[in-house]
Amino acid sequence: MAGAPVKTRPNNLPAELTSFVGRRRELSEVKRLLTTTRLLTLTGSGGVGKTRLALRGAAEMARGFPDGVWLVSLAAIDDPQLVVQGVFSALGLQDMSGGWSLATLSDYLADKHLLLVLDNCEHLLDSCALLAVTLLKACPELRIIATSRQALGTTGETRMRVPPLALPEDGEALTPERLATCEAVALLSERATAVQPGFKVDVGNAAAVLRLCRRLDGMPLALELAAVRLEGMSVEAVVKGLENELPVLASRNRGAETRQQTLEATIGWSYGLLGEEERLLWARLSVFAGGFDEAASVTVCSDDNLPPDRVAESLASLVEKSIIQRDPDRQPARYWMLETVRRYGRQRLRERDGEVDLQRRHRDWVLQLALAVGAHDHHEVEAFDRIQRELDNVWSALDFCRRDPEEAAVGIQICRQLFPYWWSRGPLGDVRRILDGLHALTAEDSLPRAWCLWIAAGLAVVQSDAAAAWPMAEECLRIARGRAEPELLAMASALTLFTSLYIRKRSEEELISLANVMIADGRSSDRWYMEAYGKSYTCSIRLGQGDLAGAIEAGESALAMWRDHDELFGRGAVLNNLAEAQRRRGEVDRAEALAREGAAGQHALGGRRGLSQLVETLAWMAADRGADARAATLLGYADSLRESIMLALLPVHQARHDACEQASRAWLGDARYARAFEQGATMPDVEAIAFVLEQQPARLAALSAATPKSLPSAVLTRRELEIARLIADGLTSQQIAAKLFISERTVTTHVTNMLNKLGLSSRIQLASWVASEPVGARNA
Amino acid sequence: MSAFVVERRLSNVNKADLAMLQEALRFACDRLTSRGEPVRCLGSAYLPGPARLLTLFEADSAAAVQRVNENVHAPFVSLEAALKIDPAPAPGEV
Repeated sequence: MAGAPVKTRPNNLPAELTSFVGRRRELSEVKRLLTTTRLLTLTGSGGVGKTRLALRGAAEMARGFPDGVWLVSLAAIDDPQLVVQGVFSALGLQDMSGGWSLATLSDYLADKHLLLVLDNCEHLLDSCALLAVTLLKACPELRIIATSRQALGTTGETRMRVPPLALPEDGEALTPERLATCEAVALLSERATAVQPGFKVDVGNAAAVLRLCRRLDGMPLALELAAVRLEGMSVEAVVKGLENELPVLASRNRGAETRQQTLEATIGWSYGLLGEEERLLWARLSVFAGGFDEAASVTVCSDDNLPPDRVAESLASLVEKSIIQRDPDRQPARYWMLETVRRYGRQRLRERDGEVDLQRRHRDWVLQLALAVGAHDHHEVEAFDRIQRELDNVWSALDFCRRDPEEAAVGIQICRQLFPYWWSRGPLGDVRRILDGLHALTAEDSLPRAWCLWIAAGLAVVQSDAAAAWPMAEECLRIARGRAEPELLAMASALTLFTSLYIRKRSEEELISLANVMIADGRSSDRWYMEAYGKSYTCSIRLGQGDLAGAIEAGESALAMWRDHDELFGRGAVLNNLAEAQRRRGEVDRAEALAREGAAGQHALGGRRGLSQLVETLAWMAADRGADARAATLLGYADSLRESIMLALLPVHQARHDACEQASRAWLGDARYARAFEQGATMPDVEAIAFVLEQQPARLAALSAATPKSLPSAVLTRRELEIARLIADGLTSQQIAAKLFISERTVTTHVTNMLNKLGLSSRIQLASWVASEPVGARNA
Repeated sequence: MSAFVVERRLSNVNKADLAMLQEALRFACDRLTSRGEPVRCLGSAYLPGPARLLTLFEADSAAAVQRVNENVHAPFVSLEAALKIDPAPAPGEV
């Protein structure tokens, strides 16, 4: 029976998709050791079951870690410098700081009582060793379980070798019933039952089963691969097939190296039994890092030799044969390979001389995902979430691009299209490092160089690294003027303007002139967003001048454009300034409404930096109107948001923050203020954003709880389901549009699509359908 | 052994962070040295204005210095060969 992830503590442990067999002694040892050591490394051959043991041990120990147990999966990471980012990501944090990421992480974990599981460390040993040593020294209540073929080799590390599953002693006479209780046989039997329901160890097959388990050295992965073959073959036939592949197993010296050979030979045997299309697909799928969905596999892997319809079929077949793992709880279903299996496929891909071609196709697929982020349209939330899921693939594609000067321009194009994503969610430091590498591959005064500088300077400003940003912005503008390329010139103007707003190196007249370049470009091209950005910046400049009427005129005009295109990222750029302008003019209600709209947009995009600023602004506004408890709660939420992105309050906001706190504290008293602040700091995200938006948390919680797992028959997208629920709640299209910050036209399109998908003909039927769905569609 | 300078940009760091980074660099050097690739971290200087950290290494190759620096989780902007100039002995000093 598959297990569920532990629920008692915060965690990101995956649900167990298959039963956990045996390992009672090892599990007990893991738990015992974890009480005496702070760094436990489970070592052993690939496929011996280190990860399953670590995860089960972590889950069973979770109660002792109030701040949770967190899996950091390193299999898909090849770059040692991305390991810290992997930890941030596992903890659900965004590192937007410009400091040393490891010190930032140490600060965050310093008072936390939690358990990290660093899985698959063997290819990143030095990096993981340094991470572990540094964190354990700085964080007294932290414990780490690492899994690796080799120990990390650090002081204080306790090593535990994970053996293969237990087998009977040679010569031991066992009844079939007793044999079936041996761990290796139990696993084989359990997995065989999944493909051949009547399978059991009996007098007729006991000897062959034992021989098979011995042949496979009790290696769990090898046993699983062999077991699925029992669907169409007898145990004897499987043993015979393996004997041809595994002559080395005659040896009785079964050390780690031999077991590794056993596993590789078993994987090779599985590969040999496949049809050509399945073999080709296995090899090609190895280009993905960290998994993929079916559509991606078709896009990247199909060609004349492997037509698209055959990809889907072969994929299903590889899942059946346990070559590919499938998580059906994700929508769309997510596929991945165990690292040992993936590396085997990659080796076959190299032998077929198709590696570089596949890497280019993979890179092009990532570029398409990036283009969706940079499209400035209403799909941006989906596009952002997609990139979040595919981040390992993005790093992999960028790594490919920065190894070859001919690929650099595409790498820069990917980074450029992803700029809104990086801006909102980071990790800024790692992207800047990748851009450094790409920059070195570009020619002087070339367009790719200019774009590279553009992205890097923009991210540097976000990190408050003006010393780096200013020369890059100047260089970008110089190249743009020399090339007279309209889009680049407009974007370089935007960059210079944006940088100048932070470091005040240009006069306000110059800034207005740069904004006008953008507005003119937007009006003379199909880049409407350039005009909207130009007006947004004009709003900011006018606000700085104290010209409230000018700021509001420009800001409202920009806001109308962003709304008209259902765009959230650009909208965020103007709403904070526009809200401030309205507040200063005395339009308090309008100001709060604008700030709330901005907060909703930033929340949808996962932009915690922008959200924290808007929540802070709303706190000040609440204090201004005497809503002191609300102000304190909002300050608490803003504080927790900043902690989750590793940023302190901007110095420019300190005075108003202090004034807000003092006013609220004076009115509420220290104890009530502290309680209200703590409430905001610890509120679950869905409740917190409902509080910010002054909406009913129950409804928001229901929307948020609509995990893909609960989508009815997977027919509706998350957005469609969201709209369906609102229809069931009796909202009109206009109300839904206002609530979800999309146009009425978009709501109508979604409704039409839903009716078509569900075979319904009216909104009333749609509402009835929502009400009749047992799980998911109704508010759960 | 040759000298190399590694430059990294680090804003928003304090003295404790820099001390921790120095320790991390030494740890990474010791690990590589123990595997037969000697690398020594001779020290660092932090420039608060431009927010840059310059670290001086000694090693047989730039590749070894690169490997050390890739494992400390702090991106570096450049790695350049350098000429290490020791202070001239004071008069009378041997």
